[in-house]
Amino acid sequence: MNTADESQLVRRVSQGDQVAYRKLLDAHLPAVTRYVQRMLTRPGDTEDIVQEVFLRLWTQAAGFDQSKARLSTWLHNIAHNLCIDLFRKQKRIQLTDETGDSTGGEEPEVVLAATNRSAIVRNALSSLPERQRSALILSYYQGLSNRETADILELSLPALESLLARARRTLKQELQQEPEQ
Amino acid sequence: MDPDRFRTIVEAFGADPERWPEAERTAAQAFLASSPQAQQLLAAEQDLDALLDTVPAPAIADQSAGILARLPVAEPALIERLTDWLIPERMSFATFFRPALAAALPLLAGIYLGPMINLTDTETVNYWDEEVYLLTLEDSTEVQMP
Repeated sequence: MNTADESQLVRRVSQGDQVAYRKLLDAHLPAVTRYVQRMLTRPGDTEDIVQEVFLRLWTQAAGFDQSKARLSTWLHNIAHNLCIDLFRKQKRIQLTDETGDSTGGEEPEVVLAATNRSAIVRNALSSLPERQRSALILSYYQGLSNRETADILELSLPALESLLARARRTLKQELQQEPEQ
Repeated sequence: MDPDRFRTIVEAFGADPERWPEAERTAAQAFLASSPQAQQLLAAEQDLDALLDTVPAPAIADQSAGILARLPVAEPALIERLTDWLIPERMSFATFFRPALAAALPLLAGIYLGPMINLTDTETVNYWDEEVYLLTLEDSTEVQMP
């Protein structure tokens, strides 16, 4: 889908056109879902955030400015901010809930599944600070350009490079500590 | 391209030149080809890339039906509601009388509002009341009888 088509569809969505909305949903739902799934550990949270992202596409399409960002960047930005909000909320809950466990909300099966390399890497990614994790996921897995990643995280390009380098360094340290399977 | 800049690039974006900043890609690749130190740096980042690549893309359940079902439906405009009331998509016996009821609405409104509206020119009425009153006050003896 080219930018002009997308722009036209967003305009139609802002007028309440469900057919146009369906086309944009089909085009962007997989990528946004993958990003949110990589950011979060609980499937229920992923579903809630993805639904909220696309609800905002429906209700706030009129506010989308094609000249400032691509739709994909705009949707990832909403998803990123919702993930960060969720992490903050979960931290507050953990601070007030003294009986909570210390695994950071990971499902028991996630911990048990950490018996192979990919699970170890996934756990190491999950333990990264949120912004480092988001930068790495957007840049490495989502295939967004450096400019787009920087825009989503509201950073300059040098600041993005610094954040990504810290993320990779932390990850290397984490993975070096893991025993070989 | 100097060694520090090359290090910054590979430490941030990894070993795949496709991920490097487009404007510096060619220069960085040329530097890599000529520098054993750069090749060593790259190898370290290749190891991490290989580990990152072991994480498969998450399997995603299609949520589109759920998202579409939860979309808030906009309240139709008054004219749309009136049209829908007059010409509903599904006809029933009750809807047969709707056009007649709609036609009767202006009549009912007139009956209700009619007594509230005074269309008489009150100033003209007051004027003639005064004239008649003044006439009664005039001396009738002045009239000459034949």
